[in-house]
Amino acid sequence: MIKVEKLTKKYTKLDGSEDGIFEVSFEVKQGEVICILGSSGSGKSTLLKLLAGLKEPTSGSYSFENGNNCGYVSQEYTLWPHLNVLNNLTLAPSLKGIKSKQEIEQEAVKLLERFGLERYKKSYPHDLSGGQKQRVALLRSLMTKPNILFLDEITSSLDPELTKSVLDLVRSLADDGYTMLIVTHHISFAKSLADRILFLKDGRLLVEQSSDAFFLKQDNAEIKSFITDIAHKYDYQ
Amino acid sequence: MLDVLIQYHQLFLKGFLTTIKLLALIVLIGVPLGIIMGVWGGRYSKVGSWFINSLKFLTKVIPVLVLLFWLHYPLQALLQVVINPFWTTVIALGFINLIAVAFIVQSELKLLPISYREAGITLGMTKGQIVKHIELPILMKRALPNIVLNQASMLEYTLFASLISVPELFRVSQSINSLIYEPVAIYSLLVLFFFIILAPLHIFITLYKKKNNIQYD
Repeated sequence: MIKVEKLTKKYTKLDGSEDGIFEVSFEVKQGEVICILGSSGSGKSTLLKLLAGLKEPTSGSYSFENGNNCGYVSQEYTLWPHLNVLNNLTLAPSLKGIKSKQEIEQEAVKLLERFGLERYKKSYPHDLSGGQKQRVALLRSLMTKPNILFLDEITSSLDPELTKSVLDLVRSLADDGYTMLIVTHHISFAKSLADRILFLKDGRLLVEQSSDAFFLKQDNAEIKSFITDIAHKYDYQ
Repeated sequence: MLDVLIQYHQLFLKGFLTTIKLLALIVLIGVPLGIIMGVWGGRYSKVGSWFINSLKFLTKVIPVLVLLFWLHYPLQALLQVVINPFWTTVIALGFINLIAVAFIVQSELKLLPISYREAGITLGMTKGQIVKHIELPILMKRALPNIVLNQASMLEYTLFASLISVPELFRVSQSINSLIYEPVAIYSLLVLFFFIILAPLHIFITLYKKKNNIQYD
């Protein structure tokens, strides 16, 4: 579904050294859920931004099998503050002009109903909690019928209870068969959901393993220590 | 008060029209050019941003009246030109307005989170659609009150034009007062004039801000 080949994005830091991601290659199959792990500054977010078309690579390439209709949700709150929830969901699809506004609104309301957010459809982003904002942002990304979802630490600014509500939504999207690339710090979440794990270090793909192999048969001491540290720090379970 | 107004209505009207003409020109220069300059500095050019900030600093440290007098007397003497005081006021206040509007627009553009644009891109919106449906409405809601309030200040600053002999409303009122010495009636009329124009404007801005409260996370 996605083929990433030697993808590189270089930044030169103030001290002259290079930062970014370097020659990262992997493939994602239809319906797969892949979690990207790694410490801060390892290039996880840069990788997702490149694949979502928000940054231009320095070299290398990536290709989507069925067109690059992707959904992207970041750790920042990105709901447009001047539009209510319903309009946040309907703006982009209605500009495509393929369906009528009424059809699009019906779809949006259905989606909000399914995930228990229907009563907020007339609310503005500043009236919502952080968890609600992220769930609405996720639903907004579904409105354009993406082939793949890129989720970049979408719970990093939420407290544990709100985190659970967002991760539960991601779980149900995985159950629906969405292909997803997720950057997360929640080890138990990654363990229970991911088919595969990509582990980045200093912008390079250090390990690409099945979830079981990564968590249960890990023989890399550095990764083992990372898993333990991060699990203590972030896991909500 | 009404007697004075009726008796000298033609002079008052002349002063009023001069004030309105001054304000209209100051707004026409300051708002469109200020918006263009603000977009240039806020989005496209670091040099533009530096330029706006430097001029804003200058307008902060040089009082309006001093600038007006400097343009009217020493600069014209140095350049050996004579410019009508009306146009000197338009140039001085138009310039101050332009810099203030540019600074407001530039600041708002810099505050606008890039993530709103990124969300639009990933949802398949074009650059034009993002500007039209996301960035411009947000900017309008956040910057408009400050831009309008600045125009209210410009109306107040037109009073300084009286000091370089522009026959605007305040100057005319002073002239009438020197003829009939009715300060209570004449200056009460001025109070009423400014109150009638500025009070609804300030109330409108307060309500507009309440209704269009846009806060970034």
